[in-house]
Amino acid sequence: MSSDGAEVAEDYRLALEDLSSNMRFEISNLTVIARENTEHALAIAEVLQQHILKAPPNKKLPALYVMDSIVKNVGTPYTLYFGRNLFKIFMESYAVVDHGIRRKMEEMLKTWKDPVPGSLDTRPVFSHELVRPIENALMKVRAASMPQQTQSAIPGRPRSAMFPPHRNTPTPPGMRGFAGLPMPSGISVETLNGDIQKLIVAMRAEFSQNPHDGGVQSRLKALLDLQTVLQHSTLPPDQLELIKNKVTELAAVTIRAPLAPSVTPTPVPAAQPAAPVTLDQLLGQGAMAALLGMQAASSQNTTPQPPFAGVPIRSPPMNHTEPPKAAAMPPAMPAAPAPAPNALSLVEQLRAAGLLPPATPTNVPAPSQAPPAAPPPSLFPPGLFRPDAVAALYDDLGPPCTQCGRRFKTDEEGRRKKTAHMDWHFKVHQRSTEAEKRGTHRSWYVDQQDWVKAREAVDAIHDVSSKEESAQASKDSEGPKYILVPDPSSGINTVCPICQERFENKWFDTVQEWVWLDTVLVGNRAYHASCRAEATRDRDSTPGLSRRTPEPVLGKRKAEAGLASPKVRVQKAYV
Amino acid sequence: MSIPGLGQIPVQAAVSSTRTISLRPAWEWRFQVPAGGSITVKVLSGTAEKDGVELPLRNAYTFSGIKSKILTWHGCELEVEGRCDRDSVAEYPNPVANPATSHINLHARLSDMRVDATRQRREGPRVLVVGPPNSGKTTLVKTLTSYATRQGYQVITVNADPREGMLSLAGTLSASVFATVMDPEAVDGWGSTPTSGPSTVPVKLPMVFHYGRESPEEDEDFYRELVARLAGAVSGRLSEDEEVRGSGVIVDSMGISEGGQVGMDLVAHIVDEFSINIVVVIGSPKIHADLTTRFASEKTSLGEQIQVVALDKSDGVVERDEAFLQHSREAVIKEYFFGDAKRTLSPQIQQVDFDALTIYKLADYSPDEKQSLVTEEPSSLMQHWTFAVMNASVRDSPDVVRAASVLGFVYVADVDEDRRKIKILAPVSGRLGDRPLVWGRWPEPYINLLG
Repeated sequence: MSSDGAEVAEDYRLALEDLSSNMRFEISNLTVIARENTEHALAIAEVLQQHILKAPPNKKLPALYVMDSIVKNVGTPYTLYFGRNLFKIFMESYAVVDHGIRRKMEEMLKTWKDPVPGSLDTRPVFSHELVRPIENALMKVRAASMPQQTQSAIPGRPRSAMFPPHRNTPTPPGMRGFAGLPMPSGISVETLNGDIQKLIVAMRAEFSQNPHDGGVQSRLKALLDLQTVLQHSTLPPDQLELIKNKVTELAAVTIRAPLAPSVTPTPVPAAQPAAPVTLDQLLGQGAMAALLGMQAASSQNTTPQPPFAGVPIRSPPMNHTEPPKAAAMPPAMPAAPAPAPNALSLVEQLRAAGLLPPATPTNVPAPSQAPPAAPPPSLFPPGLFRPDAVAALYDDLGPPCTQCGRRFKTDEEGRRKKTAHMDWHFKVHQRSTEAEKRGTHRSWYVDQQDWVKAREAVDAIHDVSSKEESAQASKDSEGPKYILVPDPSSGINTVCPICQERFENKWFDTVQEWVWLDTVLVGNRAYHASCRAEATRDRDSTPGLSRRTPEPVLGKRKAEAGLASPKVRVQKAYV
Repeated sequence: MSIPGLGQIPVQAAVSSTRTISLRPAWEWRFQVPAGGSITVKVLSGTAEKDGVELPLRNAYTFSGIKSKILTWHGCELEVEGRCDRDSVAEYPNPVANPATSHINLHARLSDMRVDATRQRREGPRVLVVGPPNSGKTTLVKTLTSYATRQGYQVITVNADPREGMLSLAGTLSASVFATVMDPEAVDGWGSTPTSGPSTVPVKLPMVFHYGRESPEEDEDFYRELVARLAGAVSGRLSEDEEVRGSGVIVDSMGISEGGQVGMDLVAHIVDEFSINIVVVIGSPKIHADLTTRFASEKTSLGEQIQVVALDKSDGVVERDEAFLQHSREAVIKEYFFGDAKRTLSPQIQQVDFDALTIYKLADYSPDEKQSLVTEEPSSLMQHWTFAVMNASVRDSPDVVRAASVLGFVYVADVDEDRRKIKILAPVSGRLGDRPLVWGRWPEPYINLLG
């Protein structure tokens, strides 16, 4: 069989080269092949390593996922082989891919520290000795590029989760002991949080009264940052002490000196404070850095973005009575932050250069700047700003889909819709590559009768094409059949009764759950969908029809679509 | 950074044309990108929307040949890569100063009406947006439409302005239900229509009529007829589709000049046909006053009062000159046949005998001439024009053909008068002979698609 080794490796290499997306089928196929050829594990591991190292950045992630899938689903000896060069494989890939992929890689790395979910083996996927150097390197990278990192980290997704302190992972010295314990020095995080929350509320109120007082704004910002830091990391008591003192101090200031400076709005450039308050100013030099070190780039909407320091001087406020061309602000401005004192002179220069309209009375905002009012007194009251109207389009709708921004509520129905929606995205991606090969064309518009009868099918694929194409398409677009990995106590079998293979636990990205792919649940029995389809087809089909030829290994996990795919229904509405 | 293998990380400095723009709540970033260039915009933090379409964090959006803006309600940071002709940050001392606040308030009000309508299972608000040319009408209609879809309404949006197409080429009137997220990168600003393949942004299904001229006033009667047909279809959908009924209708109209009688009459016609109960006037107190008087004593066919609402024109609205508009129309035609960056389409080229086609031309307008369409022999004059393929039979009378809905468009690549062959680019393969083609008067050809 040893002569086969090279052959298998070569086949594997070719299969890898075709791998351009994270399609589950392909990845699990490659995993299955790897499992069925463990006698050639060394050759396969070598091919895969080489592929990962050489693949162009956009193909690296799928290849890494193949490796991930193999070590999780097959394990030894692959784990051993990959483990030798894990650092190199990971870091060299990490260096050349973009942010999105890096994030995915970090998430993958995280899973390597845990045992394979659902497995009885309690050892981590890769030993800590292998994972730790990578983590350390990543941490250094992050520290080195901290300014960029903090502003470009993904808001709403606390990065701190990457290095959860309770894990046996590298934490800065001196931090271990405090992880998760209540603060010994009597400063409870809860009360501190509560204080900060109170302060934030007070600050918000102040901010809403004079939204353009830069001082208030940056203080608010700093507080929000502080809150984030507190919520997402565990701090040693001395730091907490420091924060607490500062908060107390700040509270005194806020509550005692309410908004003296700006009863009359002064939207003149000079009103902008030259240097906004930062955490450093709040907590003393170096505090920010210290906090960030622990915070591990946790980041939310409110995390440290460079406050509005980057914002250029204030241009003369837009006035409704100004001619429209005044809107054409000098293009260079956002790129050229100028210290506030220069603002006026810059405006003057621009004016001289003809980039700004000459100073007219409109540039000096009269106190009566209210919109030249008078919508009718009818149903539509004049322009009061209604935060609720904004919230109705944002927060009230739940968090957005990361791909298209559509928002979904977090209740039962919202989650159901979101799942359908993510399935839709998945199907579209899956089919796009295939459609590219086939060639797509614009469809004719519908006539009036069809249009009146048409119904919008949200999250269904609109695809108007010929009958054969649709038959083909319905086969393809049926999408993955899967069930969530059942609880071991549920008594559901873990081996397919037909082919006697174990179901594989797979992380399904689009639903963010562990699933068994290509699996259907019939009663309390789980089957591979393809096995079952084959079995039932044999039973149902007329004897005249020939049995299908055995499928090649690569096709083994392809799910066959049933007749009543949702696709067909959509067709009816749109053809 | 001395970590092995990390030497090549392009730490931001490498990208000199990338910059970050910070906006405070209710500020806008206004930008103009020339037809040739393109920029990529990412929202790094906060929230941002373009014409009411929310841009999710960290997704790269590419814009080309566009004059637009990105608005934030919560403040945001944008990362912009590429060169703009012009860009600026519009700052407002408070949210009320931004006319966008009145837009979102208008939406909130419409939303309330939709809730009531859905509960009572009757028609939601029918809104018409009017105003002088270049006052931001279409932008407002887009914004209101997108806001509605974001909240799960399925509103019918109608374009009654032949100067710009909606989900179709210029020179047409169209209507479509918007139930799904809109495409902020779409060349026409609305979205894309069905193709034989999947689409990463859900497609919209329009119904299209061919007007074939630039201004409604050029052939008032025909314009009125098409508006009536469009309204008929819309009311058919409203009565049959429960989801749509409660959400109502939003109509975008042509720019009208202050004091122009014909324009006013056409507006009144649209109001009548679509049973409009809310007329939104942007940027013209005079038109607002005129329409208020005009509709003071009128009621819709459903017996409602007609509300006339005035909104301010945003100071961000810019003139779009003829060359720019032409470029946009051209981009739409290209997209129709060839798709866009996200989706390549393969149109079909066919060589057809002169005799195999039935081509009508819109007759010149004269008030006493009754002939609406005249048959036309192919000629080299047709080169580079787009024809509407009508959903009618070649045996139908010209009047029927003219007012039929549009199936699609074909592009005349070449006419060989000697060999009596015409080379045609069609979106779909198949015979064209049994559908009449209509040669409009506008928009004139200006590109060679097969270049």
